[in-house]
Amino acid sequence: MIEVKSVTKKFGSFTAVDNISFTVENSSIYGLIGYNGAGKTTLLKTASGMYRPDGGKVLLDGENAYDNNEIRTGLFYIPDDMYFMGNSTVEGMARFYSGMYESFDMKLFEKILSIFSLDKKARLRSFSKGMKRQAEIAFALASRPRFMLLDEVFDGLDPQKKEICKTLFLEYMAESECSVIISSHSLSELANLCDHVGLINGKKMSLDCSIDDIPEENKKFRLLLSQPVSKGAFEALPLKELEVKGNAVFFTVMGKENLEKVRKAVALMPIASMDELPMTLEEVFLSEMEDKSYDLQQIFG
Amino acid sequence: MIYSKSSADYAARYDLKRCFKSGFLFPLLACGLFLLSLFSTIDKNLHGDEYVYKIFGSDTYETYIIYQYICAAFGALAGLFSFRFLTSVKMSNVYLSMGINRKQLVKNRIISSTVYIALASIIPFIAAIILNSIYFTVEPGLIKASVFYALVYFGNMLLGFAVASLFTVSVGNFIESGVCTATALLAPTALIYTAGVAISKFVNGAAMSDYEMFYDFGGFCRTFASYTRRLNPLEYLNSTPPVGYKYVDGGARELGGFDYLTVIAWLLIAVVVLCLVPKLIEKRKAEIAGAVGANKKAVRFVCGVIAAVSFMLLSKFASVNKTVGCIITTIVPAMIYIGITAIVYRNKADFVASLKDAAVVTAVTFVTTVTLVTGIFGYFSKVPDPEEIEYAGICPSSVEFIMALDESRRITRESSKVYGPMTDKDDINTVVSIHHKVVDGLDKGDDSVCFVYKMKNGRYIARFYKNVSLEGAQASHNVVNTKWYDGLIKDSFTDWDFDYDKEWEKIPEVTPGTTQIEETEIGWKCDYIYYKEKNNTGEIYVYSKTLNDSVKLSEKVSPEEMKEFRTVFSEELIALTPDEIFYPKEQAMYHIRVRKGDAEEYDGPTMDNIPVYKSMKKTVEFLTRHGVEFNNLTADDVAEVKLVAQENKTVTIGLRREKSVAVSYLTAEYVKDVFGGRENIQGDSGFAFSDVEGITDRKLIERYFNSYRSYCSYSGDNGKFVQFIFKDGSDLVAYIPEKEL
Repeated sequence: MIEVKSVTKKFGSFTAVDNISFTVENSSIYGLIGYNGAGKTTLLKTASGMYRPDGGKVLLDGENAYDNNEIRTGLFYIPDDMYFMGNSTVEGMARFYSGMYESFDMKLFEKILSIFSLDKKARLRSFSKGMKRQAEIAFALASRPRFMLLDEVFDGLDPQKKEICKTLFLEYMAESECSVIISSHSLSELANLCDHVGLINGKKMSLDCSIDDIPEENKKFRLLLSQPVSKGAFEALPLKELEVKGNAVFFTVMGKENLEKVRKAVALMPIASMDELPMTLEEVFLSEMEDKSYDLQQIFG
Repeated sequence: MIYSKSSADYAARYDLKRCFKSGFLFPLLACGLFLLSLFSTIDKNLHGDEYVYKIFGSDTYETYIIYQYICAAFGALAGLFSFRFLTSVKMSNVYLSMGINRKQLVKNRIISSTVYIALASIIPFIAAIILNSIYFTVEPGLIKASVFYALVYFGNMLLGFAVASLFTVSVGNFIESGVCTATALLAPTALIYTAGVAISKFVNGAAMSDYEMFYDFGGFCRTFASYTRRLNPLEYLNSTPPVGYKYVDGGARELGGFDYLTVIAWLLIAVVVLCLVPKLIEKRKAEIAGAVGANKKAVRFVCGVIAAVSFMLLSKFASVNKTVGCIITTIVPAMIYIGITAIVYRNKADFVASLKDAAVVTAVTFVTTVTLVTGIFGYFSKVPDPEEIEYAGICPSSVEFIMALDESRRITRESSKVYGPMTDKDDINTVVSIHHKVVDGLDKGDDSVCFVYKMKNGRYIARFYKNVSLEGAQASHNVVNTKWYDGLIKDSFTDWDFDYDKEWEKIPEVTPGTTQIEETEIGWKCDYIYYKEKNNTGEIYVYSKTLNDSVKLSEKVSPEEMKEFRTVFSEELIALTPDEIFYPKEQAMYHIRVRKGDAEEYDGPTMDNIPVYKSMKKTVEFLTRHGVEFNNLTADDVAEVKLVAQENKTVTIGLRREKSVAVSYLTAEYVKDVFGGRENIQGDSGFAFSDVEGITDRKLIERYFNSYRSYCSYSGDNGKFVQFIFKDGSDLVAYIPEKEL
């Protein structure tokens, strides 16, 4: 289990991650979503024990992660920016990881390589970005880690390889009870993979929920009122994307508690008809990002 | 899928193995260089009884120092590359996220590198022992030397490694760690050498010269670098004689004097620095990887060293104008500091913070400048009490005349000669009074005078003054009024059986009995000449005033008459006043040249071209009585005259006349100095006149010919050098005083 508890990380006076908390259970894949520069990589590096948090802590199976060699023997971190030694071959790098991870399974490694159709004698520097990713995923899985931290791991992979990787992660997780955090700025990459998602927005965690709960806890409302109601009547409610057009009112509500509040308030209004539609993960993401988005139409006047 | 202590140990063991596999390159290169140097000695250097000294291809002390630098450089490279992973974001992502903690990563690299560094230091010296034993035998001296130098170079390599490791784990960027390491390793050399420059420029009278120099009776005048060599980890072998060499009676050499204390001290410092590395890695923030200027202490250190070095180098302006020099040295280092920090930080907040540092730099440079300019608050202007002086010595301004009298009495390096020791109370008072006049006229001229005292408490005091006033320089000529000078003249002419050795017994570093020590043989750069032979024989040559004709006096007079001449001439020479010697009012009638030992050998001790004036009646009478007459060249024999201004410098020139290319180093060098350092490629004494248009006007030629002086020291006189080119192709270099022009 990975427990991120009120983690804050600052670089000088700049706060990269502000008081973020979430938990990744065993046999769970946690999707960390956020726009570029949101703090996902910083959070993963803090979780990997590389960065010392300025506030809070990261616990791996209850042990503090920072510079903890024992607990990290069961951790594999795939950074966005991959590194392979000098002129090493796939096989050479595998030997490196087999030296560093006692649990490294060479047979499993070769098996994964064959799935990816990668030549173990080939030099890694001659690989494309996607091939390097595949090799890195093979190193990670063959190390049989207890915790996996994957930073933009699908970046550069073609759709077919993405699906293979997802399958491998899911199978490995099911078999090993591994806790995985996978970060991405692309929601589609995480679809059908994560069981939980966290959305980092403005250096803070603005959403932390189970994938299953997303449609239940995040709704789009379409109301048709029997008589016009001023916009002010809705402004006190925790709504997003509020739009009032005559008797028609459109808005979204995010979060279980908010939903309850809104339902109670709307019930008191003169409703002709009401549609309550579940939001997709993508809609939730866009809605959360709304505050940060630019009005592109205004840019060129 | 495990995580445990055993897995962590597994990773640590593997990492150590990898360190041993990959960390050998730079120690191997150092070892290879040593071995190459060793094997290069096989052909040419392993011979005779010198095998003990032939550890490297060359035994000059510079070689030992160069190896100190090389070892430190290879050690530093080993450190930089061992910890490079910390300065790369990509690499630290891998290394710092695995099951091995930072301290262990550091320890593994320290262990493997230390082992390789030790091997790289030991193997060449074991090879040296084997090689020498093949050619000769294994001697204890060889083993001692090998152990010592192995320890030295191990210490240097380890220090380089430790410093590089320290900075690499402290800063974010690889290049920055390289710059910091280079700065730290070279800082002692840079600071010591530039401090020497600053002292010599600012502190008038400082007892340190820009170069190693002997007092002929008081040991060494060392450079600041030599005084402080033990403070420099890369130059503590820089000594005279080299560490490990000892001179013994009879001129033989043997190993000894190993400065183990310094070596071990620096080795311990390297170990302490190395011990700090695991501590620092724990404080290191992984996020600084790749970033420049992340460690402000390191930036301050580098900027501080650069500012300090620039401060001292800027002191050269002090020789142009002391006030300007002070202003520049106070302000510019702070500006350099600000400039560098602005480039490194590139943000307003840090730049503003660096202004505070710059203020500190300004305060430090100001205080240092004031301290130096005031001669450490007047310390170097203090004249010793004559009552406390055991004996005194002086190197007066421009008194080549005296030097020419007896070369065997000088130990000289370039233009500094110390005359003495003067033990007579009156002589000491004379020197002290000269010292007072020199101190009173400091910074009012461009002459130089030095004083060396042996105090009754056993201490030596040496003062080297520059920018001495004309009055001070002229006062220094009063040295000819001392009994020591009279004795020197008398001895030079009346006692041909000098006991040279007794003059040298007081110099501990010099081995009596050696004839001439060659630099290449002992690895000791020295310019002094030491004469073993007692010169019981000698010859006096009398030259015409134009040096075109000479007489060997022994062919004209009997040994008894020769003795009489020597007495007469020396007495009249002693009777000459400083003015008569240094500012002659009349032309010489003859010139006397004395050669001792083998009269035909040019390199023998020589007294050159001493003018005989009409006022030296007894000498003139003697020579006339014995029919010493010459066909002097006249103005009619002169084809052309060339004049060159002496540019208001204090000069001394002895009369020279040579047929073609001059062999006179002294004159040529002097003229070179006077004329702004123009190259004297061929050693031609007439080179200074080569670009000057000749005067052929007969009236002018006659005027100049009748007014030149043979040997003059003109301080402040605006006279001119003159070259008479005779019709037979020979030339004569002399001086024409201002009033005669």
